[in-house]
Amino acid sequence: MEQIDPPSSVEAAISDTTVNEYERQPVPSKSHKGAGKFWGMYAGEHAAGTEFMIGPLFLLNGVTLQNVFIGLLLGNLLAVLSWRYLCAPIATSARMTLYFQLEKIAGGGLVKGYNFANGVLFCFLAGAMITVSATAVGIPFNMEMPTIEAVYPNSFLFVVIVLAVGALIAVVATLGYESVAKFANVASPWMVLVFVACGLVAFKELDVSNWSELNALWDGSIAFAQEGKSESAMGFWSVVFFSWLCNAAMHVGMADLSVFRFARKSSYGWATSAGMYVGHYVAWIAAAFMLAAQIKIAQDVNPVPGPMADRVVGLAGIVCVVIAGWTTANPTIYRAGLAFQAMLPSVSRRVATLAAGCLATVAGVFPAFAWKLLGFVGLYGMILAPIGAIIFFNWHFRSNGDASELESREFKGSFNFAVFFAWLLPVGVSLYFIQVKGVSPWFLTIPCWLVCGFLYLLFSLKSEQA
Amino acid sequence: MTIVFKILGLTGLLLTILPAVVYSFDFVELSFVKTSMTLGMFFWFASSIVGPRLSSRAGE
Repeated sequence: MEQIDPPSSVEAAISDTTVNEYERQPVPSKSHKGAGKFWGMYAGEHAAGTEFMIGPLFLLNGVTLQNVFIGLLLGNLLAVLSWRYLCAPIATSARMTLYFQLEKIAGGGLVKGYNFANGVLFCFLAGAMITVSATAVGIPFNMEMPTIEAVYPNSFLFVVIVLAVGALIAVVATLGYESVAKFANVASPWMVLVFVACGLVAFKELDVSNWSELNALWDGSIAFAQEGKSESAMGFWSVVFFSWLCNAAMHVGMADLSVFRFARKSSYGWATSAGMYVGHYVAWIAAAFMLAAQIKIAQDVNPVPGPMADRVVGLAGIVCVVIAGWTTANPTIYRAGLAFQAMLPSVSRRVATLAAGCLATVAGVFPAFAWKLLGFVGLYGMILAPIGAIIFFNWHFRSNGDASELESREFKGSFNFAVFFAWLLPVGVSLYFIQVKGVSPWFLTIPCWLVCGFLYLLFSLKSEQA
Repeated sequence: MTIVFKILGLTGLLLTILPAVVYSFDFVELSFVKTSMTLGMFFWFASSIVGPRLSSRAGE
């Protein structure tokens, strides 16, 4: 999904080795990279531990099988188009990171605020990944698995295992993530195949021979999971918007400017289709079939990744869950640490990373963060994506797509209130609709993004006139 | 030595996916799938982690 997926270890690998050299300058042409690197990176990036959670949550939310297949197809296409036509063209023209570009528009003070929000959200995301890994690590210890209703930890052993897994990930993150990123690169082709194998085995266990039998079994699984109610909490458009915007912070939110500024051409944006259709299509559907098979065979509706993977493919499945969780949680904690350190430059990176790791581990103790992953990922995108609108509207309407004009119009202060209020107003209203009216966050991301962009243009114009 | 590890890695990937494909056609038992996937995992990680180190020591 990651990420919902978060910035991957693979991206991190690029960042650690080369990106840091050009953090505060456009990437020179000698450092541009070919298309193959991007295809491989995105395919690996979206085979994360959280994919094991998201697919089953569609079933538990009563999404029909047709909506899963067609909704994900369309939503992932929209995500790919967003990367290709919104993010990649700016990245390959300006060749700057989101942070550097935002600093030029909004001032260093506001970038720190963005970093803080990013860091906190990263910690909770990493917490869900730690929970996922802990469910696999707990299998040899006969750990009682948390149920889908569980908000708090259900056993002392679960807490101990989450703390141990979280501590290990946090300590490794403090050492830097280059070695983990290399390991993630090595593991990703194997992990993708394990995901596919899980889906094949689970599909076989469903024992269906045609679409109508599969559909009937799927509906039966939903009815069993919902204790006979068979209500859908997510319709077709929910699936489309969720799959489109679960990575909103990366594409419309422009975080992947950091990645695509190394691309020779903006057409490399198509490489994201590898991640979307391997990770967010095949892997999600495979994981959903794993839960359907578990319901059919064991009458168990708990979508706990470790035992689910163990039941269908054994030890390889358990190891895959641990590695998928670890290799994505590790860079997430590392980046959260960097974000916190940017807020408090006097604190060392190791201390900041440890603090981020502690926050993520505490979040991981509460399984509710993993069970509520759909809502959390939607909220994450809704809060961060509007910053991308600032970049997009500024690039096209104020800088006229010209990097030199972006430089010449650089904001001289440290805190641009036009940007701050353009972001705060739509996000504040959206949070009201989410909390009070119960609107799903993924329906508010695009309106929020558009309003933020227009308000930014309006406020900038007013402040210039003033 | 490099070619040996490449073959080992490819074998690992094939052992990871092929048994699941064959299982879906009812040719093998699930226990066979689990065993071969475990073997495939060891082969893949041996070839991609241990392999390059041994090759570099051998001066390849």
